[in-house]
Amino acid sequence: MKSKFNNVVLYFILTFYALISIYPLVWMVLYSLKDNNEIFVTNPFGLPQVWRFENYKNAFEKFDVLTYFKNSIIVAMFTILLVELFALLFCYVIARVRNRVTQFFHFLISSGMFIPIQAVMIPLVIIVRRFGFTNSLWSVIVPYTALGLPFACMLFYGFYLGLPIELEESAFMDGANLGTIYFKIILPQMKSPVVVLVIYQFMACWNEFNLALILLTKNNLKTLPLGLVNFWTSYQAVWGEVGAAMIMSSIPVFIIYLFFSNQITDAMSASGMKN
Amino acid sequence: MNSRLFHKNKGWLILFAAPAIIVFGSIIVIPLFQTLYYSFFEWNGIRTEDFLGLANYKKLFTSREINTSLINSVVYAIFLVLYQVGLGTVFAFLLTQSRIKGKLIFRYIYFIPVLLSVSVVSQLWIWIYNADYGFINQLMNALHIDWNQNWLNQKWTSLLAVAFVESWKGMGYVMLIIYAGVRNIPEVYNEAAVIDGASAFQKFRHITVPLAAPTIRITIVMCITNGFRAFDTTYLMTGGGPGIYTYNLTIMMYNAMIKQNNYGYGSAIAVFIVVICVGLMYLINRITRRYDIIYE
Repeated sequence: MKSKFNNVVLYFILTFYALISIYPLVWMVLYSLKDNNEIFVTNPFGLPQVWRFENYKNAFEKFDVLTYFKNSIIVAMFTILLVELFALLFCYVIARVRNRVTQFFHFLISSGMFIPIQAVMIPLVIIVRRFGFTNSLWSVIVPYTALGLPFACMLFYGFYLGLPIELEESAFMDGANLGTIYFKIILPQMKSPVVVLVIYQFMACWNEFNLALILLTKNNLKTLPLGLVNFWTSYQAVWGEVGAAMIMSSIPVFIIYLFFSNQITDAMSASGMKN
Repeated sequence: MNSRLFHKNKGWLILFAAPAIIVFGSIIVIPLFQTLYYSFFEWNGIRTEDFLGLANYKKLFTSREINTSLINSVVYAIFLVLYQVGLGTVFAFLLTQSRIKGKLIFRYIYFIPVLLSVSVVSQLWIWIYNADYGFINQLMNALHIDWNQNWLNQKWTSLLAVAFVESWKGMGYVMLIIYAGVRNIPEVYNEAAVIDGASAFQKFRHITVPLAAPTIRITIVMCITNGFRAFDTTYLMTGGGPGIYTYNLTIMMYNAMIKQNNYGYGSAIAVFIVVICVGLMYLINRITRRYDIIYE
């Protein structure tokens, strides 16, 4: 009897917090389909009386959604590619060759995890201006790559330690060089951490705000989170359309979450194991 | 054998390791020292600099905003720890209990705010907090509770409102990390506790919390340092206002950089942020290490 009562309390708490987690989003979806009159006066909470899908059409026309999407996708793709490539190769070396030099670099890159982004912001702005990167998305891709390395290394390092050295040795006996050995034999073993990192890195890039705000000053280069801020400051009065734009820009991550929630969970909980 | 393989392929090893080292070195390591260097100069980013010694630091510690900024950061960090680690631990514990059905669904739902970008979250909550048409005040009206607040435009509510949004967004993430730690606790402990007739609360208090302590410590460190380096939510929701009520060090740094073009001063603030974050991390680890030994 007592445990039944406890269960009711537990479910109540869990459900209550579930509502706090998602009701704001439900509210946003609802107002993205309403006009101001309905949101402000007649019907703030319920389903729309008139479903105004034109909000989405208007938002799509006013808000340069395609440009921002394109920028975000380019940034995410190149960052993922570079982080994967650099971290895979680098970690292989530090996992297989243990000496003072490799241990030093391992320590150096791992400690990058603890450094606040503000520490390098000002020099990055200067570098970007001085070398004329203000006109290209490389101005964020390269910093994102550097910032992605510490977590990627932590993820890959453990996996490499689990691979038996005999794999390389037998191929070496047959006369293959390290380049061939790595790409033919080692790399195919790394599939699962590579997938986890793709997803982790995608989410990190897609939502990054601080650096993008400071490094991407040209409107046609802005990524989605920045573009959204532009849109909302210019159309603050029209809640429905801004809501529609916000929902459109969130859809990609939701789709990925739907298909890869397990990998996301793995990646995120791995990122906490950094000590 | 082993060493022969790698010895003969030294060129490959250097080629493999070089890209990561070059990128990390030029984007993180060198700029870190540059920030330190610039912090001793009067410098607008373009023209040649004048050496100031510690004047930028003196300016920082005597500035009008420094006290508010530090107090705000402390409050913000404590709020993050209580909300994210507190609730995160409780939920991580509940969602590992076998008698709860639908655990997976709750875990999915709690994680959803983590996926959203900070611009979406900030705008969404700006409207939830809106004084005239916001969700909270409208709800109060609907329930006939006369307690309308101008949430983002008052002294303490603005800071707490922003801290709440950041906590709301990140709770699922912290919970997931603690959850992974709780899952690693060997099942025998819980079984033994059940045989001894322990209640759920006793299990939580005497098994989950102490055995997941290393993970919980990591999340506490994360939350506290996040409190001191938090920028985006505050920047988007209040921009430091009303007045300087939600100021913090990162907002001060942004203003020094972008508004005043004073890169030397901005660098000094950046150095201070790094010192605080690394210092706190070291301190918390030192203090809680002792606590760990008691349970081992």
